[in-house]
Amino acid sequence: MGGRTALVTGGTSGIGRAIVEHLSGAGMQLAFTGRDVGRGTEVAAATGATFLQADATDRGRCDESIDEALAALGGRLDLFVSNAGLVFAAPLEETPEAVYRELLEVNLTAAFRYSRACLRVMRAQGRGSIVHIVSDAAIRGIHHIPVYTISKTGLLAMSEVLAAEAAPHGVRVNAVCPGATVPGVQSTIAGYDHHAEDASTWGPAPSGRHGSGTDIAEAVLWLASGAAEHVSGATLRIDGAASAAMRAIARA
Amino acid sequence: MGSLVGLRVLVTGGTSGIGSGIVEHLRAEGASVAFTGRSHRRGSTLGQATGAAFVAADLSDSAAIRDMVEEAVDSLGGLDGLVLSAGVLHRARLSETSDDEWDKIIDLNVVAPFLVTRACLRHLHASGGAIVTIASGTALWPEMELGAYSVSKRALLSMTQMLAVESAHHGVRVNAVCPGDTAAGMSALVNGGGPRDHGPPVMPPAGRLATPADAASAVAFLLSPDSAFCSGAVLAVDGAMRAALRAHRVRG
Repeated sequence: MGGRTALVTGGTSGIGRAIVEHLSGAGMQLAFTGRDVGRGTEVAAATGATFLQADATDRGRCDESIDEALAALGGRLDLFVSNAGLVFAAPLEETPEAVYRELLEVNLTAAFRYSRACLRVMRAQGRGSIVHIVSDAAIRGIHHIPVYTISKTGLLAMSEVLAAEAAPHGVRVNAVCPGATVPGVQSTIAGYDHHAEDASTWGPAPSGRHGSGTDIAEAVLWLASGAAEHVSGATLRIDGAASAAMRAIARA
Repeated sequence: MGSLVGLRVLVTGGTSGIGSGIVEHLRAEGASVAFTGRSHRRGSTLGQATGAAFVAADLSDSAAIRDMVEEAVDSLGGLDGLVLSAGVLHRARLSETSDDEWDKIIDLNVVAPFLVTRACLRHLHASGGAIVTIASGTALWPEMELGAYSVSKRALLSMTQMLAVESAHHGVRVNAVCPGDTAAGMSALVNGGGPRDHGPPVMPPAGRLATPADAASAVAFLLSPDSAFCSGAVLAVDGAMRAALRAHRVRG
């Protein structure tokens, strides 16, 4: 993968940070977005990747970040990883409209808008790979986090539809669905600090442990590689069999 | 008079297509019905023909939605059933979908059903009522030429199942009907105007398109006590259209 280029959204923490570290370690040239300048600068210094401050709710800034990423990467984009996401834990009955809208905006619409723009670039190149970091929630549904589940379920459909559309242009699109991962989704809606994901409330997978960022990053690297040349429209669950069969033990 | 005598039901998007078929069928089965729609002319015509109450509503405005629900519940004297049929269709690939089109699809197909449901929940808790969402075959298996629409309907299906789980302890059942291509189906298009001609439809194995009555009888079942233990269910009404991948043969 040496010399290949990638853009990763939400690369300053959690799974996104692990992806930035792992892909940089594999010799790829990276740009990544995130909200937090302090964390972004730190990840950039540690990996040599280019940090682009962008909040996924700010459409104008997201659009700029794509142009800036292309400039930083020499005008070529081999891989786009849509990773930025928010979680919110409350029944729908108690979910404010603004929260519902913001989760759809960040987890679904921002992913759509970035993907649409990156597909345009990759079509012109005649090749490229897009990986959406989705969630187990998109496959089985997790009712403790219903808005998250709804947004991620839409995202998985989006990934599949885009794969069908992109395939004739040499562009592959795949979805990775992590189960409970430490550190996982750290971001929640402003004003709702207590809703950030807390891994201690999740039991381990049947494999006996939680997932790690590296588990996910390895899959992203493989999906981006030539070894996965005929893999498109795929959904890859990485959850230690957590969602494989129904278990009586639910989230605490 | 049939199986729904005494049930008080609100139907969104009842002035055309599948929605008006649902209004007619529920009335024929003896339910009291209030319905929303954009067209006052069609609303009053259908109201006069069926004895259902037309309630004008703009489903993109949450305050208007609350007022609409209160008006409908007042006219019905309570609420036993909610049918979320309002929706908007858009024929386009994702890469050809503008921000404005995407936003309208998400607003009307994913956000509005949430807002209407939220406004109805306390009434449905009081009666132990039922919700039926009109999703789409594209929620089960997306279509490339209906990119954003497929994404929105998949998210709506997820919302249905999340609601089913969190409403169960109130005795409220929540189920989805997924109609396949329907003759005289969706008339609300994002880009305005009437349905565009896209050539002959692909027929399902059953050899004909669905009719609004096909979906309506599934809705009546899911509102009735006959489906007392059905919740979180997904009922495809598509003539086996999505029962299997039908290979695209180039010869023979």
